[in-house]
Amino acid sequence: MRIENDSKILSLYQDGRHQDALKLLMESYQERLYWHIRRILLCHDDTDDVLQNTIIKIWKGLENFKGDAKLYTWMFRIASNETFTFLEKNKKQKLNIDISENFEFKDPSHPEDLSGDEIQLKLEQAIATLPEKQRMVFHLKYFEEMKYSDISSVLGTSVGALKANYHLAAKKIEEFLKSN
Amino acid sequence: MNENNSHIENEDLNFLNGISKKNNFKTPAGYFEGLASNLETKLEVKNSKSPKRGIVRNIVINLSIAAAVIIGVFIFKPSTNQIETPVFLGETVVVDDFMESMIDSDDFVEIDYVADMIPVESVETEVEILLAVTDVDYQEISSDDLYDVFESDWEEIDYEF
Repeated sequence: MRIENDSKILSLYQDGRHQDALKLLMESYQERLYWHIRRILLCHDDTDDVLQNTIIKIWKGLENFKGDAKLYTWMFRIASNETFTFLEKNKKQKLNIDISENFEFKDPSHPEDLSGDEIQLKLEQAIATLPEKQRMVFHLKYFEEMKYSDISSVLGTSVGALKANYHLAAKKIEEFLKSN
Repeated sequence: MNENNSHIENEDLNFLNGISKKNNFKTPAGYFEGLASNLETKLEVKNSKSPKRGIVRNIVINLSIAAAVIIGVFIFKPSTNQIETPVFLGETVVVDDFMESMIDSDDFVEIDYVADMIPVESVETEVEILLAVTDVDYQEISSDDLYDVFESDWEEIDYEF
């Protein structure tokens, strides 16, 4: 699915059907890239800014995309770089964000769902305690279900280091969930 | 895969079992629906003909035209046998021989056309020549007579150069 859409996006772009290419790109990736950024920045407005910059850079870079890398890892790499650049620029502004305020309880009327939402909120809180890069590794592996080799392309880190990062992240989350 | 890290790859994440992977962060209503069109406007994206395809199409059209012309030349090529004038080698040889025999014979007089020509430098010279031919004393000729000479019937004058 991913690869099919990637080749379609590139094909449409090369055929000059830019509007269709952008539409398919957005359909395929806007939410995935959004959540990739959002899980690090937590705030919607910051995420929106970074996502728009990311897509603009993707779009402008698409002309020179050689196909040496997979399109989707290349896009996630741009999103990651933009996110880290944003964090670097706003280093002085401590991002103190209450996750529960940004969390949406889907259906509070059903106790079972509420219970599920609460556990999920705890998970998000646990993830938020991780360092940014570790958080990104956990997101790409757990939520995006990416292969380590692809995460390596996205973050420019060795597969071994990624595995170690993921292992540490999982342990920290487990400890957080047990203690809360 | 590094064997030392294989246990990490197969990390036992049982504690996450049952937790949905859905994203439950708040997003403004209709955010994703509007994002694509916002970016489309911002990036001024429109469908257009690819310049690469245009070049390829032009090349194909030009090649087709060239191929059609070449094929046409081969199909409609006029037969050279029908157009060429028959060569009568025998006659040509006869004429050439005749010309050479004329040049070689004693009857042939080489004329130096340049030396034999009398240059006409002016009207006066021409008049002198005419007077000499017609035995007229030029002292007695008035300008009217000259006029008459030039206006008279030239055929009556006997040129003896």
